[in-house]
Amino acid sequence: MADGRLRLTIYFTGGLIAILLLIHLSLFSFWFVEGGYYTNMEWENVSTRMGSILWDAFYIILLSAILIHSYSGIKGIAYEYITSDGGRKAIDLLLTAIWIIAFIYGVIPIVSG
Amino acid sequence: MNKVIFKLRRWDPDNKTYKTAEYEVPVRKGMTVLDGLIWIKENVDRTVSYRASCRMGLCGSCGMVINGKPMLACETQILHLESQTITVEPLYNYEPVRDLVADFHQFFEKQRTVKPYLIRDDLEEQINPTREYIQSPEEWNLYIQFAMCITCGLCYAACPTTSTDPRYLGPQALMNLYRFFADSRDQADHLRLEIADQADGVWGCHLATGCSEVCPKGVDPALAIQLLRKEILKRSLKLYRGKKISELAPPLPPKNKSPYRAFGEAPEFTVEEAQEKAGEFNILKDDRVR
Amino acid sequence: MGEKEGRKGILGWIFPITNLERLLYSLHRITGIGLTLYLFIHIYETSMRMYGYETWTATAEFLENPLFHFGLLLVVLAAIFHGVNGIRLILQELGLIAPRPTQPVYPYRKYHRDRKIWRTTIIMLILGVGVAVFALRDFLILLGVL
Repeated sequence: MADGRLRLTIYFTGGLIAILLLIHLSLFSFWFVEGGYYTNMEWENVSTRMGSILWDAFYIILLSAILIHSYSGIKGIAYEYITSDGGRKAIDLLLTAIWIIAFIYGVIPIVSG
Repeated sequence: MNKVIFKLRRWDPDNKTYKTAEYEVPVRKGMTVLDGLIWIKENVDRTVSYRASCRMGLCGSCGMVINGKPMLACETQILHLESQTITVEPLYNYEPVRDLVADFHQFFEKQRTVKPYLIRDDLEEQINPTREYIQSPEEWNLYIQFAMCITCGLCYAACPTTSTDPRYLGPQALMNLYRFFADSRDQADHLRLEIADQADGVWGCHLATGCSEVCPKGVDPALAIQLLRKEILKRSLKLYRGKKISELAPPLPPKNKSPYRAFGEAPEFTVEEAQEKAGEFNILKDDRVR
Repeated sequence: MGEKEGRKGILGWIFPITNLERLLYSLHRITGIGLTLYLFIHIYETSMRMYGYETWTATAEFLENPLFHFGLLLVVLAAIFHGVNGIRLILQELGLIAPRPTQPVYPYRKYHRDRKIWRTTIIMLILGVGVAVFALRDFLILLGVL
């Protein structure tokens, strides 16, 4: 059932990402923000956003959702190619390690402001 | 008379390679790809090998990839393909034996894994059957679609997961599993859900739906797999309530006790008794007959 | 794996193209892998903030390139496709609104052409196209065309 639960997380996180990603993209769009892409890439604006608790929470949820979603997806593809039990355990460890490193790299800029 | 070119991608087992052979085949309306192959074998090249049997879409032997799509050769009309060149290859994702023949060994091995037979507690009845099990038309409808499978193997050729994962059970096996799971006569539903609930079981399916598209019998393996997933989900959330199991039919009423005589027994009347019973509808007394 | 066993291998991700949904599956997988690669690049890029103002501004200037803007547009379009198709898959995969099986009568009914699901998908597709138009306009503004 572990595989089933993983597949369910794809559905849940998928729906979540669809909504949160639209919000994230609208920050950089000329439609919604004056100066669009350039404004919200500036150091001060990013600092303000990362300082706010709400945006912190938003980005941590978005990052976690995307990482879980992509982890489950890539694992499914990897399992198609690696069919031995030992190989599958090894790929599990490898993918988990890579994804945890990605999470750390992603969370530090958010939290440190 | 029209002529089309048959390009056969023939597997050469000695050199372990595919060789393309071209044949010009005269075509008339109504001729199937299988007819074309038989014509080639009879008139041009006797060494062409292919599997075929019933030639009417019933046995599932003649599965081949025709113009890039898995189809039954006996059910595909040449003129319907609307192409001057008909490319015929052995089925994808099966080990080729020779020419257009594919080895179905793994296919049947996977089918055996899902235990495609009724499993019940009453072993004595299974070994020495005496009567039938009661099943209503509604219960029958729940699985009969998936029992129409002719094991032609086209679904495996169309499935993207079978093309990469040799352990994946495949659309036919999973659909067969659901066919027995949904059958009210079967009592092994938990066992079957456990077999399906693996990375190489139901979770290997990503709904590419090639299987349902190529199925010649409309069996829809994709639907079976999704319904199976629903049941597995219910079971994991502890919402699965089990199903009503068909019971053995009650014994027929004993002879001479029933006023209506048991089935299959001829009534034991003399002619006079029969005439008396027939009464006014006695044909022997009808003047119009004589 | 490979031609000897008859398995199509990685070509099987695309061939045989039997119907629309099979093609959508191939694109969904390819966009998924592409988006994952972009995710790692993006995380690395945003982590440049950790190294201070100069590094961040230098990164932003490095990315100020029509080629990278085009790449970003492709990523956004891929994400829109992946999302809309993903919603269709979520609706279909658990069989929650699947029809009851019936005796197959020719022409056969196929579950993947279920009307309810495709109606929802078409609505999501229209919304997705709307978002794509937004993204395209932004891209053209970034290029300086609009």
